[in-house]
Amino acid sequence: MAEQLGSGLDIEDVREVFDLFDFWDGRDGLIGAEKVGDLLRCLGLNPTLALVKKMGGTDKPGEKQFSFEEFLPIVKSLLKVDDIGTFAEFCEAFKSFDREGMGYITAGEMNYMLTSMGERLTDQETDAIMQDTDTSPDLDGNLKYEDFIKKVMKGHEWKK
Amino acid sequence: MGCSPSKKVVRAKNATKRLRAVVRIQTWYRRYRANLEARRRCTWSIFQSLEYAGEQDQLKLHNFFNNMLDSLVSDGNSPAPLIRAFNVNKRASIYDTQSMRDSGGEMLQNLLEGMEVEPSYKGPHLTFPLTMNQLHKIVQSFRRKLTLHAKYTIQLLLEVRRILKTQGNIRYASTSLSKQVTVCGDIHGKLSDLYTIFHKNGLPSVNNPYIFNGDFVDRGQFSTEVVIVLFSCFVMNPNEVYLNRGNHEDHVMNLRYGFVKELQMKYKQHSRKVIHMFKDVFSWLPLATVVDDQIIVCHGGISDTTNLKTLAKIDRHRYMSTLQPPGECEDISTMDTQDLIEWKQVLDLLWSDPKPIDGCQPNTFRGGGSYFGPDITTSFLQQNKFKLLIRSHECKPEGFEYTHNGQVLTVFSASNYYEMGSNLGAFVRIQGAELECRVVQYMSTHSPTHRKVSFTQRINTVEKSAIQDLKEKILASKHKLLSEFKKCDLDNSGSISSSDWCCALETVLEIELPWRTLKSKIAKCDNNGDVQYETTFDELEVRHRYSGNGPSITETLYRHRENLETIFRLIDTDHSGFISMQEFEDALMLLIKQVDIRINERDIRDIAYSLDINKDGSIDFNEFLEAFRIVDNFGKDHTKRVSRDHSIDSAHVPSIASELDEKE
Repeated sequence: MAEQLGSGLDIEDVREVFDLFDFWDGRDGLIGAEKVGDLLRCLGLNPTLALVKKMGGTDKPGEKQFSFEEFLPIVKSLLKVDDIGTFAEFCEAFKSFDREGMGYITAGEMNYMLTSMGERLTDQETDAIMQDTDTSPDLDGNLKYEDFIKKVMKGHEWKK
Repeated sequence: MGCSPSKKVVRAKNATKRLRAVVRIQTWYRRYRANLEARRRCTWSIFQSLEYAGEQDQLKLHNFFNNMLDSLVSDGNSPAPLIRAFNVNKRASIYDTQSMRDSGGEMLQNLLEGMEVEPSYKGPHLTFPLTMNQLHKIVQSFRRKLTLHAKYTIQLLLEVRRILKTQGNIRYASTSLSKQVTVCGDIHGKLSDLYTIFHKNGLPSVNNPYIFNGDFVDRGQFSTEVVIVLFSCFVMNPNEVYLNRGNHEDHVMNLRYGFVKELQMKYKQHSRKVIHMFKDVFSWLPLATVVDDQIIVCHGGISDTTNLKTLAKIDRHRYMSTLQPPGECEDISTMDTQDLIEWKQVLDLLWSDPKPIDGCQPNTFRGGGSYFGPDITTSFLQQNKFKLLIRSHECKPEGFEYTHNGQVLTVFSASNYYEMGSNLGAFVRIQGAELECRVVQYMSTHSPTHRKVSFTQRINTVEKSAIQDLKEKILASKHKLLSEFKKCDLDNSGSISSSDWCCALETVLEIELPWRTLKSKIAKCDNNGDVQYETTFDELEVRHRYSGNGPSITETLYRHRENLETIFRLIDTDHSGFISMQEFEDALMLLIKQVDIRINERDIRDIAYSLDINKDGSIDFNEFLEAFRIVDNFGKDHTKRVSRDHSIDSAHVPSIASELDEKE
């Protein structure tokens, strides 16, 4: 029985994702540190960019490489602290823009929020979010953010 | 007093909460995208592995031919035509290269004898020298689904041949006049992509030179039209249009990957002559082009032994197929060293792939050419004082890719190669004194009402298609797989562990894929992760319209249908689509000897008999191959149709005809 790591993951799952990335990367058993974030995300983890950096991830290719043995401890330590957040916590992002408290913000405010604060996204990425979650503003340009969050929480898990 | 500290604290706390929440959304999005990207790459791996597994068979086929030739010859009873059929390069000697050179193509002119154009022909009547106006007419007739008459096709090919013979193995292009040159990669019969390129970048002319880097034909539905348009541009601008040979400008590849079949369908009773001309003309295509002595363009790549001086001296015409020893050679073991060296030079140029790891290894994935590493590229470029290698040969999601620290640029011009939405196509404009490379990407649209699909939807569609292809391959080996699964199922529970399931698939199918990740898309699993292996086959099975021979034989023939098809086409020397019952039986017997399958002679005879519907002793092998079906328990047909290039029908396709109008 493969070693269980937590959250339904076993060591073979980690190896599989590692091998998958290695498959595309020359099959030499090493993966560039700039891929660490994506590796973790494909395992179902939710590290922020800051956390990925802290764990040894880099921004650009060619700086550092990880072997499977070096990658595994990162997974183990992140599994302990991983947490996607609750519905209420997601709502916090929108509350300050929701002046009337009716559950709506404008599309422009949503875009502003995601592109100028925190770990910024680009305009293209926010457009993609709207398209992929099938979220569009009503005639007044308003979005019901609870619906959006519900879709986010339902998730698009790739292993399912 | 002012703002009380507690209010400030609350405000600060809220700001922090909000910031954390925003980061949560951004983090969620990044995870979502990472998973989508992984699915996309996984899907890509499936398509590419299936494609290369087929091609690997192909170069194993070259050993296969040698072995078959051996067994046919040693057998003593085999008819000479059959033996000759299997040595494609040797057939060249029927039309003697020496006399062709001397007579300037006169022997081939005989092909035109007796070929008259019927009054019912509605296509263009070509005269040479070709003019822009005639190209216009050719394009218009293609849009009306007409075929250029065999007579004009052959005349065009004769003219192409005449010019190609004057060109060296390596051509040298200069941007001194035009200040730029455009390089296009694989087109593979995707006419809509060729039109898109001309629409975006203009037609070839003195001021607008082009290098077409091979693989014009096979796989797509309009190989004939693509190559005719390219050849027309070539004869009008022989000094501005550079045509490099690809690994698909090769008779054996064309037998297997669709070009010969397409020619047979479009030219009917004249197809034998047209096919023969193409076979000859392809062998005259140059092998590489060098731009301003700085950039080398060739189809596959290089190896640690690639030597331009050696390449320049080769008689490239000896290779009707690069998969077989050149010219008169009967058997590899008797080949002389010089021939072997030259053959390897050609194979490496047309079949190699760059890899991120240093060094040079034989390309086992493809079965031919080499894997070359960054160090090989660096030393080759340095030795020849080049700054860049541009090549094609591999499909890329973005249509292009830089590797080896920017020393190698792959450009691939067939968009939607695996499936609608699978990849972009691209071409490269090299411009200015510094020879800067600018890449232009595009994707042929599907229909006039094509709406913008979201990234996720596109991934879903392409993934579904890849999984379907994979399932077909799995189904074709059902019996072998089931027996492997059962070996692991010691307690007869119907379930086996994930590792056992993955191992069995990899061993039997011989393709490397992330099986664990794909598991849930292929079979049902228990709660503890074990696989209910029978669900791998989803209650589907392979059937053949004429089979009464039992599922095992049908499945076996289905699994080897590509090899079978290649053999049939080789035997069918008049390219009629029909072979005799005896030849059909011979083909199956040959296959059995080479591959590990068990069908006895009696079954073969039964199959042949049941296929001879008219009882006239001949078999339509196209029909035989198309009669395979994948059905479920209710008899419903789940066979995947070949995806057609519908974009040609679309009114949205840029009108090259109008483009031509502007230029006149």
